[in-house]
Amino acid sequence: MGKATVIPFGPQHPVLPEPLHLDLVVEDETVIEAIPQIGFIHRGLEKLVETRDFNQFVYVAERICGICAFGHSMGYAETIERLMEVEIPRRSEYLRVIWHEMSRIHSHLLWMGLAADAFGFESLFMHCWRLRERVLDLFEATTGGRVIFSVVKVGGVTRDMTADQLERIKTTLEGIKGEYAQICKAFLNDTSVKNRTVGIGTISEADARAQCMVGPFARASNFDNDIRALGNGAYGDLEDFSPILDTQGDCYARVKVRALEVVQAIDIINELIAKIPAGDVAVEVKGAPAEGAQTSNVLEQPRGECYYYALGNGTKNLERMRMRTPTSQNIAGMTTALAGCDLADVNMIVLTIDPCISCTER
Amino acid sequence: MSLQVKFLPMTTDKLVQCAEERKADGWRLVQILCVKTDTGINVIYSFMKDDCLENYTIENVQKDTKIPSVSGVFLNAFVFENESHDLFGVNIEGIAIDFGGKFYAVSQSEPMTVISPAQKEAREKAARIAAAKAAKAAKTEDTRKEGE
Repeated sequence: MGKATVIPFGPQHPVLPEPLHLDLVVEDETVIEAIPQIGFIHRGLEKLVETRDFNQFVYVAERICGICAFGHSMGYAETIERLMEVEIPRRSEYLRVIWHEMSRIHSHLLWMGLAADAFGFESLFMHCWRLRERVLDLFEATTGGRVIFSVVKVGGVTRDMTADQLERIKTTLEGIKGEYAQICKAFLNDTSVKNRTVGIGTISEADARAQCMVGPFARASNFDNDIRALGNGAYGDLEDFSPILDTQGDCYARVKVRALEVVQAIDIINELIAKIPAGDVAVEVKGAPAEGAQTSNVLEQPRGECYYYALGNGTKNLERMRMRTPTSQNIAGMTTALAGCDLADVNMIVLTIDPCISCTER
Repeated sequence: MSLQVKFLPMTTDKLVQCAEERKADGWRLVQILCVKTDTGINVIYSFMKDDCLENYTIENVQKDTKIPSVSGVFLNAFVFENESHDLFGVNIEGIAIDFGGKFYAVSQSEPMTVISPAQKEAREKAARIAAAKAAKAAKTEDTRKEGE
């Protein structure tokens, strides 16, 4: 083996959508150790609960991330509803899950595009993002926004969907399915894709459990901790929900899990549209979280489990709000996956955890 | 199956043992968070297995309190432990990947421990509301006793 050399990777790098720095200790072309560093874009959003009341903070929560914006507003609202023991209308639970699963589709399509870009398959990147645009069109039609939706409030949602809108969602997603199958073929069968993903950055199930990994990153190593299986909200009304798992634990398995989760999300949306009950979409929430009242909550975001904690102080402002995002949990797993890999594979491995550093630092 | 949330007490001397037992029993470390209080900092460790989410709280941690790292048991803890140190000034010993206070590039040390004027006002308001409620309850009790 050659002399150990430290190569700095990031925070500015073509494959990184957000600033993550890695000190790669390499011998010849093999990575011996990867030491991660974040901290370049800490915004102090959790501190804002002191100056925004618990209703206003929904809009801060959804600005934590531009991809999982809806999930953060939903997770925050669910946490406050749990804290204040508010029961929201069933219809609003359905609407939240429909929007949340649409977010999962657009998040995974965005990621698949970035992955295609990383391994140099430009046309595949464009096709993924072209399909994603159609999902964003649905968001615009139903919420008025394409990135930030502002439809969640503590007590339910601010907008209902008409029967025509629900039908449009169903028709559009069914239309996407056919084209998406063609894209999936390229991701799962193309030799040039497999050359960059199969057997790369493998993490065993035991390692995934030991590192407490979450989301598709964990499920690709057969570690099942999909929070949707707990049946919170409208997820509890699904006939049959089984998380998508794979046993290989490599970059290919991570691509495969996300690819299949898009189809699963479309099926969930179709089922909920068929079952959605009529009724109100919000209840009035009076008062404020009691002094000393605290609770925690988890939600399955597109990138994995997100943890929320809220502590009341008797006023409209919370004493403390905490959001632990999926990437925080997956950084340790990423360092494990990088140890022993080829230098040329670092970008693929980093990308396949779908890192979101803005979320992580808040 | 629905989410079961529990809050339980914890002490620094039993923390690592608890983490080891949890890991051996198939639990995972979900996160570590800090809460600034009037008298110190509460550090909360969350573990999860199946539908059960347990939050263990070490209360009233002071500047000179040394908390053992659990990153030797759960490596993913190093992110939260560095964060607790940089944002709250919690003194954690033996972090697997210790950035020595340089994990977050913040312009002010321990920014989350600063009591802002807004927070101070909110706390005073909460104290006034609580005092008013207690006075009203006492008055109602006195009136009831007089009536008897």
